Amino acid sequence: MRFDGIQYRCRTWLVAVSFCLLSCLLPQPASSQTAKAEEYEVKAAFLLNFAKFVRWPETNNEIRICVLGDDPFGAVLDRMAGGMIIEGRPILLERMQQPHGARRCHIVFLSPSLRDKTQVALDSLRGGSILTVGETSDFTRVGGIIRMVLAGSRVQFQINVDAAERAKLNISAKLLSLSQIVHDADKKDGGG
Amino acid sequence: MAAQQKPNLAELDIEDLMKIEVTSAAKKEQKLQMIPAAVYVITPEEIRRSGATSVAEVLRLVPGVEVARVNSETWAISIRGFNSWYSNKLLVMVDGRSVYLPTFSGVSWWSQDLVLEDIERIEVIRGPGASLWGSNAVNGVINIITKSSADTQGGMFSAGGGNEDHGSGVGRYGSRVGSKGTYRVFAKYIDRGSYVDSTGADMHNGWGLSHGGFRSDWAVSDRDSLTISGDIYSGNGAPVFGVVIPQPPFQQDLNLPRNIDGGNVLLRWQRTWAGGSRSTLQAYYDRAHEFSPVYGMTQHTFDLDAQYQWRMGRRHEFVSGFDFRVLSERSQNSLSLAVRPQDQTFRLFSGFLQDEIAIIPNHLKLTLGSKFESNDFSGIDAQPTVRVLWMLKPQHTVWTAVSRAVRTPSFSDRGSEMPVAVLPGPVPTIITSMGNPEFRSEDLLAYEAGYRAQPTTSTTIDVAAFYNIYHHVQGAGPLGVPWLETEPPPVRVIAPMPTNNLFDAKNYGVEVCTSYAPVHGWKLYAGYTWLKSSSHVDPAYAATAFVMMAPGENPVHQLQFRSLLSLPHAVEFDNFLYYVSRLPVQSVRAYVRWDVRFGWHPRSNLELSVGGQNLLSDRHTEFSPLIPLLSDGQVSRSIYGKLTWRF
Repeated sequence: MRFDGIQYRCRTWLVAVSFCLLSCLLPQPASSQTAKAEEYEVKAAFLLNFAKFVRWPETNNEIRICVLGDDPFGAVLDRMAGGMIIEGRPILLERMQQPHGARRCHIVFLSPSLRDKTQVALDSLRGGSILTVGETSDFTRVGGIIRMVLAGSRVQFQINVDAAERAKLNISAKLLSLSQIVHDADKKDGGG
Repeated sequence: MAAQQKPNLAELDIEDLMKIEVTSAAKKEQKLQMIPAAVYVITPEEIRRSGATSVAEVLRLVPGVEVARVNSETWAISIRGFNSWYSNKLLVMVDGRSVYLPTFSGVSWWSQDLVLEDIERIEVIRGPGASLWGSNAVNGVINIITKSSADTQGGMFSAGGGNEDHGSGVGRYGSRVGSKGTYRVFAKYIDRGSYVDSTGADMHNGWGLSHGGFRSDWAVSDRDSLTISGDIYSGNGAPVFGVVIPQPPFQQDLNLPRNIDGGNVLLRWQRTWAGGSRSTLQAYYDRAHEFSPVYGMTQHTFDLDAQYQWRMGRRHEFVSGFDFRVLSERSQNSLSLAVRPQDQTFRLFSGFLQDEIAIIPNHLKLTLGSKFESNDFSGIDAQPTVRVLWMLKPQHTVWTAVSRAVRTPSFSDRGSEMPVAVLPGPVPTIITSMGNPEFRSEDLLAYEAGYRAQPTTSTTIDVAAFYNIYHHVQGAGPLGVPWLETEPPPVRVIAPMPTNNLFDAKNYGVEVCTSYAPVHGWKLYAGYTWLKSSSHVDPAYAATAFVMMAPGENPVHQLQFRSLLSLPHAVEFDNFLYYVSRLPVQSVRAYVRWDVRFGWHPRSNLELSVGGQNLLSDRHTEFSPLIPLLSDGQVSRSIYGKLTWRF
């Protein structure tokens, strides 16, 4: 009969469950917990963190971080930046659609929404000491400085040191040691 | 992981930040603001804490979706009306593979069983989605999307059981292949216990389903990704069929064995081109087989789908594509149900084009699109949509849409025979529902509007209203000319009720979804659905008095409250309260249902949960299909326990 079968299977499940309970509750070496968070929450934290590792040639009172194009962060960025002080300098956030307004920023995040206009925006930011951060696959190839990359489920980044040098930005060795270093397209990629 | 306090990311050291794993929901949720349609996305967290053991039960969480469990293995699920055993106006897809069957137009929920832990998200679109998804996405589309195998690395074992679903077990293992690929394999078994009928007697209609499969994802280059997945499943049980017979008592309820098995394999190639445009090429093959003494079928489907997405200038975002599908089916008929012709092949070819126009970038968006579909049954159909979305201010959007969608004829609409009732007498008369080769598509003209807002970071509101006008809706009637049948005995009169496009219908209503997170670790949801529907017989048939099988039925009011609470010591306490108003035609009473779940994570990789469902009453009926072939059971009070271990 089928229904005796069901009861029998039920019993086997119980056995399996109790066995598993025992085996799971026995002491085991503690595994490192990996926390999870939403993609743009992590990326927002990175964006603010970059400000700690970069020296600009001139120091104003505040650090101005701008999001150019459609803002993927939303309120998360405001929440994190609120009250954040880096080396005595408060953080100001601005959002804009046109690149010419971004020339007064210290850090500009170029939203993926710009797509094929990324290059144009980067060109119009040239000559200023601006840390450009982006996500598109060719971002560092077309002159952007830091590209955030989703490698599997973790965020990593590439830094184009030639572009950083052109912008007269001094990036700390610690940040460089954590990143994959790339050069302008006409030179060979260095090791990471 | 949900039980852990989330670190404040901004305070983390950059090295620690690099260790954080990201879930990719944010991007889509951001985009949710900009979708000019009524969309709800079910997250893995909501699924995990629902206590549900099937996708069908998970859908209860979504305001605006009616989920009614008919018995152990059957659900009636619909959006915006016309709920029935096979809801024919709701398209359901799993990873881009349609599970909407053209035989009876609808989903066989008894063969749908996914590993819930491996679902990335379930997108529920209320309202027509035909301009993109094609025919039968009339009242809604449900897209079930499973996780990439890169996100299911390592092992997972999960086992649970209770007095309703007797037991279920899942094993899954994921690992890497070389430097560019990942894979997972899984096996699942679920034993759905039998239901009781309205007298409380056991129906002996338990249902068991085994399901195994794999998925592998490859980053072939930094432009190309490849996904290969496959499933096989088999299930068996003995549902109760109400078989119409020509002698008293004229209907017999019999437990008859039903076996199903099937499988599919799917291949998807995605490429991001230099300019940022994206293309997807997907092919799948699906086989489904079902057998019972009442009806059986074997079905093969092959589908090829291509899509291309590109931007033009500053304002235009295009997406276009084509789809080719060929489906062949062989039916095994009986006196209780026959689908004719026994062998058929159904071909479908469609193309679509959609343009999203940023009239004022980030503020005003116009979407124009249409699907053009040609199939063997109903010729060429255009299914256009016009949608406008206006962002009043950040986090406040309103949208409105006008769309057309069609529901194409099913095999059984065009050719079938099913005895539905007997008029006793010296020679009994058997009223038999008959397919009709002249049956044409049902069509919908839908007007929708909605408002979506996030007034504070902890509150969301989503309101949608719709007014749907249907033409040529299916019904059975008027009675045709009867004839005498002598073989097999006894002698009887067959009174045919042909399938016709009998009705015009109007459905209108409002759906409200809100969520509120008063403190970190506590989330509240509330939802309300109001739905009115009316149908009247098309004047062409108005003179004929005898019309049966009106379109399906839905409750006028549905109300839900959910509370997901994370307590100290990694304990979770979750509550679900549902109110569903009555179904007068089916004599189903209104019911209130309270589900509760306690979860505990003694270690980060171990989750134990116990819960109770339908705690307020011993049992209740949720749906009572008005066809003899399907007997309805009652949803009983139940308790369950579950363990999930990751390694």
